[in-house]
Amino acid sequence: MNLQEAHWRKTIFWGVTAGLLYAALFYYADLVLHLAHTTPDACVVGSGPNAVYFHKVDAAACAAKGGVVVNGTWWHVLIPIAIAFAISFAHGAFTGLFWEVMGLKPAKK
Amino acid sequence: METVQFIDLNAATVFLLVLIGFIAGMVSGFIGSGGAFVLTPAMMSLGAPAMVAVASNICHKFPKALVGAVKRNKYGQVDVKLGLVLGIIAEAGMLYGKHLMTSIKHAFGHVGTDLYVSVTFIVVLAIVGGFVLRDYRRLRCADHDKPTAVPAFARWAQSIEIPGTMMHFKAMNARVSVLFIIPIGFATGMLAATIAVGGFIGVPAMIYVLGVPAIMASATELVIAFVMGLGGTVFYGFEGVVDIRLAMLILLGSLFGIQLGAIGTTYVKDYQIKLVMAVIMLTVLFSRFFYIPGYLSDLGVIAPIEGGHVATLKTLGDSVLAVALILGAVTVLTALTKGIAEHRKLEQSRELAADLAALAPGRERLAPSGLLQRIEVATDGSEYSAGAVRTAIDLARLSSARLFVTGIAVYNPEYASTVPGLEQAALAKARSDVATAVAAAADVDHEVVIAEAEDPYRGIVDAATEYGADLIVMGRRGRRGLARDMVGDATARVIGNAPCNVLVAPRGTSLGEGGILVATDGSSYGNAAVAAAGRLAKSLQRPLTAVSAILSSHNDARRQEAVDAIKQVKSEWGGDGIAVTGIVAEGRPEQVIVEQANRVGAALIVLGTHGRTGLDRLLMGSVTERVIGFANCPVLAVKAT
Repeated sequence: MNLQEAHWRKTIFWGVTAGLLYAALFYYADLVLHLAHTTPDACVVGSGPNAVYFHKVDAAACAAKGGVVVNGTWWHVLIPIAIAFAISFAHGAFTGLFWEVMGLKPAKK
Repeated sequence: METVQFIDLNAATVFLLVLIGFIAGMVSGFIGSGGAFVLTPAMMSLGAPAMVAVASNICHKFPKALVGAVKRNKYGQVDVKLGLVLGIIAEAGMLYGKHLMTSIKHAFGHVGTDLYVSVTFIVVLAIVGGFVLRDYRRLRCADHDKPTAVPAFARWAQSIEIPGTMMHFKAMNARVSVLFIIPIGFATGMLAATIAVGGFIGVPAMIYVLGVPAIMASATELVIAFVMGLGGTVFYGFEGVVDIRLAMLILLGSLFGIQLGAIGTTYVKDYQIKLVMAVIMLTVLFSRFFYIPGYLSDLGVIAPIEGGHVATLKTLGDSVLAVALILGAVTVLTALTKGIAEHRKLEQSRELAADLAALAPGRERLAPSGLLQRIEVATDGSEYSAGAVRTAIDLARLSSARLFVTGIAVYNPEYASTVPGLEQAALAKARSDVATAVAAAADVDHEVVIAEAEDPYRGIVDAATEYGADLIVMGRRGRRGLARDMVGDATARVIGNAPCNVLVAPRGTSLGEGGILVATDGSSYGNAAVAAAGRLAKSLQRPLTAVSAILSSHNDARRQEAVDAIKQVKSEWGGDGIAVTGIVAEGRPEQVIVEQANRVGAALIVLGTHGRTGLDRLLMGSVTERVIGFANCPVLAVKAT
């Protein structure tokens, strides 16, 4: 296998991996946003994509809006961090190779 | 209660976010840092509240900063201690900055924070943009070879001794009081919490206040950015305002753009980069002016402005922002297009030169006479290269070959344009690396080659191609235990990509007085090794030992093949005045080869190689690599054609 072919293989591997990670993020977008909103205490009115979230919760005001009070969960804060690391790693590896297989290289001085 | 609504994403907003990320990344890669300053206002323009825009911007930045910091640490440009100290202080600055933002939000609502962010943008961009513009004018007429002196203020700061507060940092190789570091870190953190680009203060302050060389300041800023970014994401995460979708969409375009921008920098001059940076900063600054009347009107500071006028002003602001982005994109793409055209021309002339070199007499791999004519020895000046240098000099002397003593100036062209002195430092190190080898090669015909490359293996292979080497000689890092099973990636990559054969010499070896041992299994790789070993044995007048390994699981037919391979070596080379002996031994090939080489006191082991790289190499391994890892004498990897 020559260098060019090896680059293509790696590029495709990291491209597919990054693509799958992005697909997963948007497939589970409602859940991920729900977790982000409920890191602090939140009042959730409605559900799914139409849910509206309120912070600085006041139980009475929440009930008046027909919402449900959800107690905050501190470790939800780790979710965006883990997602950012995973996507950044795979996508970074992909783009680094992508321009090279496209024939774009830095100029030699 | 208050709501922080994340923006609705549809095909148009997704496309715009990726496009903005791409253009901002391109600008960021081109001007070195700070492309993020267009992201916060851009996200705000798409409807994201200021807090969400800042939080999502910070979240998309920290993993990128980590990757960058790790990469530049390999080039010795990062002062981790200074980065961590500044990063931790910056966290405090961020906490305060975030507290300030939250207080403003509580007092005046989102419009208050929007106004605060906009005003900070204007003030910071005006100051930094002005400085960059001044830098551009200086750089345009500067003497680039002149070493940069430590700024006067930094010299003064380093001379102040405040007991109990002094810390030593390798970046400036001096002690400096923490009392100078605290305000820098704090201001960096506050700015990052507000506009997500703390580096606008951090980098110039490290250079002008602490006396850190520019090359290390921009690299160390990545550590600060990582510490702050991680901390910032946690802080804003607890507020529930990190929109990971926004962050990742921006990242999607940004990572493509940042690399394209960085490639673009290699095709332009330093002062052109500064000019683009200043123009973009000042244009973004200008765009923020259009939003402020609306905010002031909402807050009741000025007389109410009619809704239609606010909308018109906002459209004007968005348009100016778009112009800033498009301007950056066009500049980078123009630089790239021109550069690529020139690069292609250069590549074509190089290919032509290589073709001509191949047509010249004596350019075959290991010339049929066995005499080498052009030997490249790669050295990094370390003890691990010493064996390679000795072996190469021995070979050059015995073959009357020309020796190309090659040092590799390793640097990443991504940073060469934005970090002054990077290329010069790498070249100086490469020249000092080859100094010992050049002195040792005084009595043979030699030439010094300094190859520039991002990766050492690429430099070694490119130099061999350019100088038409018959043989590359290189060292091997000392390894223990399992790691010896796999030689260094650089060695394997050189073998895989070299245009000629590669000789790997372990530390402390030279071409001894012993014979040559060749491994063969009758395959095309084995036959290529036998041909090269036979020619070498004949020209150097050394005995030849042929070894063929068989496994206990091998059937009779395979065992007979091994015996036949040895017979063939004897009949082919035995009548040529060389003493040829043959051995068929049972065991794993690498074990048999190394044991027999030790037993006969071989000066050189010759093996055929498939020259695989990448995944194939990882999955299949290579006898050659394992022999190189365990051998006590130099190993010649012969590439089968």
